Amino acid sequence: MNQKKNEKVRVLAVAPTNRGFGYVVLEGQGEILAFGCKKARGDKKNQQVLVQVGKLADQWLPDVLALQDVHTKESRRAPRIKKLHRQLRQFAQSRTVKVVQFSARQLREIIVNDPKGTRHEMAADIARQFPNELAETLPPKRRACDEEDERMSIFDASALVIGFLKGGK
Amino acid sequence: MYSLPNYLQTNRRRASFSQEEVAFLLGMTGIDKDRANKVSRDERFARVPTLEMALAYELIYGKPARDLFAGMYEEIARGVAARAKILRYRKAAASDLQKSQAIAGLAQRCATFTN
Repeated sequence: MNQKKNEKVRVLAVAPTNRGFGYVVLEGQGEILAFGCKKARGDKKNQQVLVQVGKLADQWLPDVLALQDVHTKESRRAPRIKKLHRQLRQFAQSRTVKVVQFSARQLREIIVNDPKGTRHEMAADIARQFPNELAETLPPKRRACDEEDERMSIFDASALVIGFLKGGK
Repeated sequence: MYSLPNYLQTNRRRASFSQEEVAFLLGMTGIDKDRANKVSRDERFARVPTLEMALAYELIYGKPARDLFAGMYEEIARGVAARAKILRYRKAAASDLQKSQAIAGLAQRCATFTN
């Protein structure tokens, strides 16, 4: 803990979903400080998410905000989510927090070495990397008839911090 | 990057304790919710725990207080380093070798936390 400044970086990764967002706070070379998912309901979901991310930023004082790159050609995220990512970037700039972005393809390549890997494979790999923190959070493999488990957003956020650690963008 | 003022929440979650349980271990009195609120305030940096509490946290989480309160420790170290510099300058002409060495050693220990 007691190291010179700049030796370690605190990263806040945010992975918005249709019902809120998942987040992970990582410090240094792989110490997860906090993780979880927050819900946003009603009309002004983006505003609610921005308020909650603001609270997280106040608490954890991140140096870097990690987001998914939703503006790539292959991204199929909803317009609201794309707008939210723009708002999150602006929010980070207003706090002089560096923003790093990774596309879904980049993350699959970094984590499972396969651009066609599934999200569950990625989540299982991440749970193996952080057994104490995340292993119990791993949801069961989704069947086609199930809706997505909200805990997957935590693994999406974890993928972003791993992307930052390994990709170093 | 500076460390956070404290890492109490991270360590509590790792130890799988609830705030009520930690409050109980700390020997806080009052109803459960109020006690948990006090722990919550410590974790959100809204309150500086007393020395007694800091030592109790050290025991509960099994980590030295300087690691649990890393940011606070760094801030204190920076202050001490700055004052040690002044003291060394003031005592530069003094012939007390032992004291000079103590101040130099102190400055060296605190150098990690200064720019």
